[in-house]
Amino acid sequence: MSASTPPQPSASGDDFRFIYWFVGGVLLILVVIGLITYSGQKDDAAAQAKAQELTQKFERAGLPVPADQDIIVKSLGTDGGAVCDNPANALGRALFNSQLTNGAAFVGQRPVIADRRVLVGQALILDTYCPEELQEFRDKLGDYKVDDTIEQ
Amino acid sequence: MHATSTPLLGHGRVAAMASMDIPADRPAAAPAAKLVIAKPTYITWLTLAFMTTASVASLRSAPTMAIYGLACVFLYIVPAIIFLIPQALVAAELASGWSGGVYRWVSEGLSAKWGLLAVWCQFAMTIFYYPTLLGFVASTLAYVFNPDLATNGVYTGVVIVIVFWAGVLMSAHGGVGGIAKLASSGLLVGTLIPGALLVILGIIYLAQGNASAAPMNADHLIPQWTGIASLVLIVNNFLSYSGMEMNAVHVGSLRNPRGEFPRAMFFACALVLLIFILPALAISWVIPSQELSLTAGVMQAFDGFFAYFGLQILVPIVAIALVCASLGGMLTWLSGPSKGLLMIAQREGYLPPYFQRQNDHEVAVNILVIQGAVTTVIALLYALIPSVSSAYWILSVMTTQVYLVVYLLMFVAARRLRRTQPNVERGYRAPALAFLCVVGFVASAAAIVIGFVPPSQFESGSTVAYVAVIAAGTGLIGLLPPWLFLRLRKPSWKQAQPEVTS
Repeated sequence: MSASTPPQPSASGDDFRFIYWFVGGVLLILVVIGLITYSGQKDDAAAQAKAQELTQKFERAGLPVPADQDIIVKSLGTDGGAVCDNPANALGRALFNSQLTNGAAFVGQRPVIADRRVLVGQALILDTYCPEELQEFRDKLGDYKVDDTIEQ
Repeated sequence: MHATSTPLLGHGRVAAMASMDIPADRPAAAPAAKLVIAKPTYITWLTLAFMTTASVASLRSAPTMAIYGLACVFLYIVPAIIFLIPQALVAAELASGWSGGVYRWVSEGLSAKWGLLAVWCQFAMTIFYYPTLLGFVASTLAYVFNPDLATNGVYTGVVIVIVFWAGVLMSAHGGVGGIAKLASSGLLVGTLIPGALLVILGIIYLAQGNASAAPMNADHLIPQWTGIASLVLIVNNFLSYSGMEMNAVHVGSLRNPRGEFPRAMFFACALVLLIFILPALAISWVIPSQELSLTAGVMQAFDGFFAYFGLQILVPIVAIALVCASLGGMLTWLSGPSKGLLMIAQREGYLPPYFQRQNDHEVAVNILVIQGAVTTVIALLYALIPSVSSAYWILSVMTTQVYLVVYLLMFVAARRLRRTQPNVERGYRAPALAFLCVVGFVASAAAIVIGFVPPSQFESGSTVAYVAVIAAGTGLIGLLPPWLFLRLRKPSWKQAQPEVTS
């Protein structure tokens, strides 16, 4: 049954309030730093040309392309941004693997058999923006077992 | 434990006592006065619903599922019918009748030994889960501060250690009320608000007359059938809802657990479904699946999404918000299973007194610290050594296999409790409980079987070797430690009252 003792003031209320505000403060600082440091990708003629090149490669491979090419321009720029930052290193590989999973967001996360075309798309991005990374990517990640699980 | 008419005690301070051999029909106020701890730990049903949602759902999975387009609805709804609903309804009935969470339900329904196995499996799998979450946090922060940082091992290691141990510290000092507040805030800031933003922008995108990047017709509602790969995808998605029952360990912190826990559970189910499905759909409307880069992580998808609307200024804000949600979820997982393990350890003497030590927030600090040390090592190996990061996913299959054992035990226990303790007052009685238990049990068993199919990450090697590794690892992680606890336990390790340390 419900306890009859009424709630009493918490002895550690001040301590916890401090943690709460401290965490909030740290996160706010991180947001400010992020707003200062994050600049997105360059939107210039070179970025437009790269986006055009990628779009053509996607079309040749039979893959869908975005309605607005600006999505590619602004997220990949001229150098591919984070996509090309050593995709085969430990963290890059960890992220890659963590994307080839089911729909769980926490403890139920489990690997699945990925769709072939997703890996093709990834390789085309690398081929366009950082071809020097493509071979290492293929060597380390290209042997994955895949199938056609996405309805086209 | 005794079959009593009122085994559920309604107060957080009394909940610890409910795990001991004290008849629950004794008036609660008298024994409550004996307890050293005199801190209010009431939380509202809405807070518990938020905690439950924060433990299960986040936007992290949205880009992963967006690649399936409209089929992501099928991939979430079917497992919800087969696994989420049985799990939620059965847990709601059990929690509205017995406090303490899964260890107590299984102990009452089967035996204390099975209860130990259940809570150990729930606890052990979390140790191996944190590395992916911490890797995600490190990469997300790097994405907005400087993508080059993601290639820096020192940066990755420092972020992992600081973030994880900050979480342990907050769990140790926050108590249930504190964790609830942080987890709820994380859910609101890191999932609900950005999720709503994604959906609104997605609707605007379609309203502008743009065609959806992923086809949205009936032909694309069901994933393409390619045999075993499709089966693996569908059945493994049952696990998307793992953990809905975990926060039942805090049921004693509700003022009226019998009525409030089921309400919290149903509300959390609705939230989880919305969070999983709608943002994934919104992303699939705007960005073609093949353009969702895998090595750049989740943020690449959000970056591309916001780029279309010229709102890339939101990228760093959403990145930090996603980190908030991840940390909120991590806090619930740090506090829940360790509490269950502590409860059964005290009641049955399964762990040495050192591990049973609590601080004045009723948190098993020594269990948390040992768990933290093991997690830190695994997380650093995972994020710093490429070969480990591939092998890690084999480990993650083992741990999810172990977690599914919890569900097998829970469904069996629920069915038995209806027969063996029919008079225990339940605040909520699940309709067609036997049917729900059969469906949930079969779904869990199917997910275990599918766990033996090699995934993409198992690059080479024979299927037989893979099956052997998964079976051996599952036994090693899930069965060996509880067997050792049983073999080595001493009667003197039982505690009548929690040992409190500050």
